[in-house]
Amino acid sequence: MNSPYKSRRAFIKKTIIGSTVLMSYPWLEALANESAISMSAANKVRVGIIGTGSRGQGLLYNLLAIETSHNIEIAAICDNYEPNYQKAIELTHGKAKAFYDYRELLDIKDIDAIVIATPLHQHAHIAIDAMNADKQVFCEKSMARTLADTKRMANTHYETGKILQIGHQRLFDKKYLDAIDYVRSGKIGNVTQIRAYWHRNNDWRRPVPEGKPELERKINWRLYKEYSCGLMTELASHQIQVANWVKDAQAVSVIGVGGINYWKDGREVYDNVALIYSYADGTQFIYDSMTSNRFYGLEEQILGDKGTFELEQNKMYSENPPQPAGILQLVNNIEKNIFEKIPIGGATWIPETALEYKGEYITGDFDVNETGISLEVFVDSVRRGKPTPGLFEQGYHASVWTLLGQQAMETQQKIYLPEELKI
Amino acid sequence: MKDIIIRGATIRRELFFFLLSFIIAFGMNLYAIITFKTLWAELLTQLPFLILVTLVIYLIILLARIVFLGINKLLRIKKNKSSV
Repeated sequence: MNSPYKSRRAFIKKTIIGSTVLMSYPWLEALANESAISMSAANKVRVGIIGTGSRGQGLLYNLLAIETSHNIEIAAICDNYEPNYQKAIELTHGKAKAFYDYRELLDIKDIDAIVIATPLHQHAHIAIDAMNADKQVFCEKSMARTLADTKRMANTHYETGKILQIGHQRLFDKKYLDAIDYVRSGKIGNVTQIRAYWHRNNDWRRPVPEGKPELERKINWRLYKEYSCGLMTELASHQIQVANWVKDAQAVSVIGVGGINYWKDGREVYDNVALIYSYADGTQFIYDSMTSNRFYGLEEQILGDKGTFELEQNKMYSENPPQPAGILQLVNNIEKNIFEKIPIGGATWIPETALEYKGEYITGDFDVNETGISLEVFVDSVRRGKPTPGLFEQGYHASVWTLLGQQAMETQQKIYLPEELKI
Repeated sequence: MKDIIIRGATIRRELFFFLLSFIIAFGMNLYAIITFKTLWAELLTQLPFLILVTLVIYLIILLARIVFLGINKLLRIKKNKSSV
């Protein structure tokens, strides 16, 4: 079958092979060097999916799309919420074995790999049980609810030698890959600040079935501290991973504030956060997220002394933009002289507002399903039987600094990386 | 329907004004390249934009001519009235 993923993958391969910088990332090198997949039954990768809510279903769709081309089989699904359980059976046409208890799924000996897309607080014990049951694991981000859980997962990963890939899909996004390549080659000069934000304007609630208030915490788990750190683990973790990746380092400290200033509806997690992560070379990563205004949306901005990237927008801005043609400048000046008003009062200085400059695209073709690619990489590593070097660490550090950020906000203190969390 | 006759002299006159407009636009481009220190290649690459500038200048000249002719006509009418 000629899957659409195949051509996308070929495209990624082309990108990676052309860059010595990107080839230095082991997970990309593995992707570039992938050999032909044997279609024999013996070479089939049997996958179980635990947690088939919205994200789990998304991953299931992606896996079904590569089922034939990558010789995999969705062998089992598991969810303890009936509508999700039924939906997963429907999507797999009843072929996959279905369970309410993940432990029964882990008991199936010939399942090679597990995909975990449960609420955050369940990631750790399921992933640890899966690795101990000799399964390879793909776990959705963020990695875990607590720092202790994050470390326990890491320990189990290293002790068992099992794969533990965290679903940070930007690691496989072409515009991010090209931007990282440019950062390393000095195209935007010395990166001294990174800014990121994720703004939404909604209550983040999912409807609870009428007459079943007991399901509130199960369905809206993102809003309760027992299960989630809200904006930090669900959104910021993506962008913290990007910041660490851009700097090719971890932060050394974090300060932050957060609170509930708008959605006073019984939720426990913050509805707005603002943090500053500092790196050893003095670079600051300034982050904020909110749920009461979506004008600025979502962005990661990489600021260097020669240029700026806006990664989500796929844009690159030079500090010295290319000069327009002389005649355009002349006409522009004439226009200004005729139509511009002469101020007779007000400020006596010219405000340093942003340049009106549309920039250039980082990459021309960025229509790549990065979640699909990340799952392909996972399946490839399952087939090889060993983790792809470097990939787990990206997820681990993102999780650790996400949770340290939460800690900084809760304690109102500057937080450093504790010795015991170093790997 | 009334036929409109455009005489050769009219076409030549309008072509002259259009050429004059183009020479002004070309001169502006030359001035801009020297002033803003941009590429000499813009003498060729900016030709499409130059055509646009030419049209704008031609329209400005046309407007000036209409105003001039209008004033001229008004003055002639006044002169004729006073001589009667």
